[in-house]
Amino acid sequence: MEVKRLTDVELLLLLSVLRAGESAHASSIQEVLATQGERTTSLGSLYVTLTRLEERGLIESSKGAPTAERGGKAKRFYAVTPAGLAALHRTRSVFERMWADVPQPERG
Amino acid sequence: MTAPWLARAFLRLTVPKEELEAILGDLEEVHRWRVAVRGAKTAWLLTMHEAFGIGSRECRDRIADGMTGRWISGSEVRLAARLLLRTPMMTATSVFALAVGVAVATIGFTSVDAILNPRLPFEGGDRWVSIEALDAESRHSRSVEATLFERWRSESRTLVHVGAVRETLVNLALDEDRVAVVSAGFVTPSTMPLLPVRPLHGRAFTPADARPGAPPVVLLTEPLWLRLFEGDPDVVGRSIRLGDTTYTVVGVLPNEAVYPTLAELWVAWSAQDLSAHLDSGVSDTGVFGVLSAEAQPSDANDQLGSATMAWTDSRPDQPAATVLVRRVGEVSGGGAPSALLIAVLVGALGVVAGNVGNLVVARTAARRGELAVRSALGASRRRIVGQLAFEVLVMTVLASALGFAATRLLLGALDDRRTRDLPVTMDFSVSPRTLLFVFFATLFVATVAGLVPALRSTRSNASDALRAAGRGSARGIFGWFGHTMIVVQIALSIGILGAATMIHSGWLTQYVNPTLDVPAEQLWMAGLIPPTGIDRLQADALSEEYLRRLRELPDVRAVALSTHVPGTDADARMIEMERVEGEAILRIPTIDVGPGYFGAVGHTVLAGRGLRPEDYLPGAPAVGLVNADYASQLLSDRNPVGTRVRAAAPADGEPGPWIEIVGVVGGPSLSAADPERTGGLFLPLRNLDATQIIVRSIERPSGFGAQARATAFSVHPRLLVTGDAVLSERLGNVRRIYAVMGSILTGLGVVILVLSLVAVYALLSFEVTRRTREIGVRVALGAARADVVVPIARRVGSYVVVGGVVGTVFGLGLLWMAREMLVLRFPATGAGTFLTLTGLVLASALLAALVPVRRALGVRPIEALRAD
Repeated sequence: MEVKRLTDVELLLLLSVLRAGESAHASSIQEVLATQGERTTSLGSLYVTLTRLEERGLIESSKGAPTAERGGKAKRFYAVTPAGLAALHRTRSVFERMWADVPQPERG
Repeated sequence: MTAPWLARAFLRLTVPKEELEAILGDLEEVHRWRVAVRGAKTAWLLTMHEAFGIGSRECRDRIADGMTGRWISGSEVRLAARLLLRTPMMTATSVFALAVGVAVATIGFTSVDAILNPRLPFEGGDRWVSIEALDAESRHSRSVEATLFERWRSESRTLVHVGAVRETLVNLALDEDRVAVVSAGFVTPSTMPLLPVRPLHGRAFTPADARPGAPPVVLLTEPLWLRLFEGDPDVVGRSIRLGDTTYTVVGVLPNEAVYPTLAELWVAWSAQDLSAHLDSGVSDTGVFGVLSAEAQPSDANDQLGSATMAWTDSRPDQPAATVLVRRVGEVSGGGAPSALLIAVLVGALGVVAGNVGNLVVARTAARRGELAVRSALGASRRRIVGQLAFEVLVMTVLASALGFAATRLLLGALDDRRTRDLPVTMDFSVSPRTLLFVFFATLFVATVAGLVPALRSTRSNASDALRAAGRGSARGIFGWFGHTMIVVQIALSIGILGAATMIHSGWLTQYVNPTLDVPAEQLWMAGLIPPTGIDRLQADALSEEYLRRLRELPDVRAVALSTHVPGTDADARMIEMERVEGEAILRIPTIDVGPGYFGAVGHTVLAGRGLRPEDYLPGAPAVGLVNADYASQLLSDRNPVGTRVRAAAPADGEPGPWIEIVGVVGGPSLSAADPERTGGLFLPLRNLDATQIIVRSIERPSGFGAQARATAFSVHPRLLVTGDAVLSERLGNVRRIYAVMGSILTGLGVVILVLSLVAVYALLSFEVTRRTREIGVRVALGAARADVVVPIARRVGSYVVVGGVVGTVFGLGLLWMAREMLVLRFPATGAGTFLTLTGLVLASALLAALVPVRRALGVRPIEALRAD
């Protein structure tokens, strides 16, 4: 299977889905992205990227049970698929290779 | 705190069903978090922004995916979107016109519903009825005596409860120095268990609170609790003094407690006090009831009618009484005003729909050529109509969002029933039914207006259609009716906007920046209400005593009574004057002043004498004073001293006694708004009703109110000092109100003007487009450009000139009415405003015609000839 390259946003989003763990849904992913990924994004942009990743088979989603704090609405949970994990690792190895000889900035 | 309904509604419209629940849930979660972190208002804005972002992305995706079904393909949708954006001004104007239509219709239907279908804002509110005693002969309202009330209570089988309520102002004394004047509602305690309000703290009233010997108890409402007790939950059990009685606070009511009284404080009305009050003959008590499960108001009316008749029979020497039972909020005789209201609404909607229709017709008609070409190139009729329908749908959705947002903004102020100053039974929340109805009605109007010309241009075969488009044969869409409507609209908009801006500028110059002839920073003012249940002499004595004590307070220089707030308009009364030219009856500003008034406000007597103490005595010869402007404005500068005036005879009565003018006072203007009506009369104050106190103090008198209320309380616990303020602050509030009202008036005028310009633009654009080929042919045959342009300009000019003249007459009529009603003088440039407006409309109309005329002149003659 061909492992697809990831854009910067996709990379961060996949990592956020992983970090948000089992309860990864749009607003928790948005929070992880903001607090740990240092990137704020609107729900609208988030849905677009999540849908694209799902279409490419890098994540999968399932519907949960309704909860009171969401006004009785159900959550859509997201999880990274094996293909998504492979894409992450490949991107990382590309980055590591590219970073190998980058000098540190001089201090002073 | 849930996400804004508009955001949720927008998502429901745009997001596919299978995604909706999760997205709404996410939005809900994020909104709660935002409210906690950023506050409700910012959260509202961010969430709205978010929802529109999500919804529009969804729409775009669906368009890009070509998911819009078989009726129209993705490429058609893209084409429609491009065409909408290709003429951004036309699209924006159409959306604006539609949005105004949506807002007018929604506000109109909601207001009509609020007025025609009054309802109490709680479940089962439709079972509550008001019970009114009437005089059997005159059918006028009369007071309910205790025995009648008891009979209603004991004999009503159609009602499960009969209660009573009375509202009044009271002195609430927290301690000797802290006295506040609050509104108190005396409520029968047995009513409370039937109301669906639960106290925030403590308990509600129980029937036991009405029993003889029960301790007097009150409930605070949330606003009062926060204002005077800083939201202290330990207030329950505390004693407070209301007038001359001490009460125990037993609970705090939430903000939703708005019925049977909007008062700040609810007092448990004991059975004993209720009977005593009913028998005192003061008719300020409202009686209400709750219908039993099966009963209708008419059943209760019949039954209480028999009970009232039996009661009347038991006292044969007294006038007969009857009863009227209605649902709470229902008004009898509302048929004519309601019909008028609906007629006005339908008229307004008709004008708006006509405008919108004109615009959309013009928009589509202007594109007939393009449609014909597409049709000739093989686009099916269904495709073309589908594309136009999609355009109309997009415009309607945008306009509905704008219109509903504007509605929400305008009607949102009426949500708080406690502060809005309207009957509690009027519900101005926009029902989903109204929203849906208005949306589909708008869609219908826009679709019919947009599709009819499209269907026409695609009806015939391709070459006919092309030829017809070339000739511009679209006669019949705008007939004489359309032209008349344009003229009427121009007239209405020039008249209304002209009058509105002049009233606005009148208010601004007279109220917002008045030239005051009194030291407004040093005058403290308040209303003085003597206790009820005492006679006139006692009331006068109390007022005297109160003024005496005020004069003794440190820093107070002078104290006086008057019926007038300096810097505002005095009431104008019909006065008959003796003049050299003969007697005249005029509306003359007149105020009643107490002893020492002129000294308190800093005016001196210029001629004759001032008012003396003996002028106030009963039976004293009637005398009055005038100001200097009176002589110049009404007596051609002759000396007014010695002349006589009297109250003009009312339609069915005698004139008042002659009053001799004994002096002239320098300065005080009796009209804030009309410099030509500042002259007026000062008469000795004899009636203490509706009196204003004026206190002049040396230092800035802010904070004097607390001292003044405490002093009143010490004179008599039920002597009320209300609405106190330093004059400059009080006038500031008046100015703010006028500034806001003026802006609203002008804003309405501007909306009407813009709508008219839209209509003029639509018509001209359509007409000129229709004649494009004709113009081209004329140019080809050697006509000069001027020969083409002048007739069009003349046509535009004739619309605007006729509309302008009619509008100016109409506007001047409005101003004349406003001047009579508001005693307001307008800037001298009256006619100039209308001329300017007419010029503005003319310029805009010519500009509107310019674009299509240029296009027409640009047609190559050879093409024009070949096409024909």
